[in-house]
Amino acid sequence: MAELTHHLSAEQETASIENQKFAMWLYIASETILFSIFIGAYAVFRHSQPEAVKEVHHALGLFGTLLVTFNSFLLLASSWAMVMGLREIKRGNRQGMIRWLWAVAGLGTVFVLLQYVEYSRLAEEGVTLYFEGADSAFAGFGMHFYTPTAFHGAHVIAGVLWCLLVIWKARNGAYDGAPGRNHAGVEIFGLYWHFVDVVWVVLFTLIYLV
Amino acid sequence: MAEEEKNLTQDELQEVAESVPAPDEYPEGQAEALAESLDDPNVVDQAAVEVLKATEQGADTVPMQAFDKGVTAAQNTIESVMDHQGHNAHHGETTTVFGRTLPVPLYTAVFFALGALTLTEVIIAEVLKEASSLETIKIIILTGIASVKAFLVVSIYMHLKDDSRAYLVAFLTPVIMAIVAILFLLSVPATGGY
Repeated sequence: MAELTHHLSAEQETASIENQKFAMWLYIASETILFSIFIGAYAVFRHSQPEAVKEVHHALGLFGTLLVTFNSFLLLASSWAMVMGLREIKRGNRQGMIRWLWAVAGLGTVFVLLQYVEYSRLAEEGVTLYFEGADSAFAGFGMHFYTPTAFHGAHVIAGVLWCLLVIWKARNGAYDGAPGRNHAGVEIFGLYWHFVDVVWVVLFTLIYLV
Repeated sequence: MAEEEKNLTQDELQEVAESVPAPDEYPEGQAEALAESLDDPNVVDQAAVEVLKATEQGADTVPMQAFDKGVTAAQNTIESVMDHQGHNAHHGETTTVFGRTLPVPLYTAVFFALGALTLTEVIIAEVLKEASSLETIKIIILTGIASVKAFLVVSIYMHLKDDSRAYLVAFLTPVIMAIVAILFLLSVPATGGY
């Protein structure tokens, strides 16, 4: 009887984890709609004001392009570190996971710092959040640029904080690779972090390269 | 991309699993059938019939039942290991891409692919920066590369390839709606600048 009770609770636990993951995917779906609005607005702006976008790309220069490319590599690397951390906890190696998650938090932090450097540089060139003036070569670009990238940056900051929480919990004994799969918290955070990475993949191409 | 270690192990296990019939499915009456089919049995034929008879008679004895249980347990274990390997297909230390085995896990190989695709994007964008006549082609190529990158992250890093279909539907529905909406917006003629 005790074995049967244990078996049922394990099934319930698995169902609970699946529900949590599904909830995370629904959250990601809602975030997809939000980012799509910004991406759609930028795409229409890019379509109707190609010259303004070209001017900004010129203002950004090769240094700016390399800086953003490097930043993209940082985020891709953080996504890799995240999935390697999940791999470690699935093997029961909690310390290994913590090391990878420190890398995730570090890379995310550097990404945000470099985004600040990029914003400062663009602001110096005259690309501002509000209307730059009817005769400005960048007319209208600032709002369409800063809104999606800053919204994304806010997600990175939230992700870094969430990552630190996961690390703190792991250091206090949470998560392990036991059959109960109580590493679901790591997996769900991973879904969020990878989604933030996917959004950047789209924003990077759309805003900086096209 | 597939992992060689996983495929080899699965092939071997599949072969073993298929070569051993389930004990409770072992056909009965083979000794009798063999004896009836032999018109003029020689010594060897008779010996074969006797061996089959002895085997069938011994099937219900305690040692044979224990053997049955052992074989069944082994088969269940093999199936369990195969399921486990199928679910954790990304945990190997090598990755096979287009027939070449790379000494890195799948996740690392995907990271290298993402990096290479990003570099390709930047190079294409820089080379075609001033080529206004090729702008449409540039946009199509860059959008295509970005889509491949997003697909790699979603399918492999987010495990959407292996996870429940419900997650796939929950994610793809807004993505498809967004793509259709954006394409519709872009098709509306511009009525002037800012």
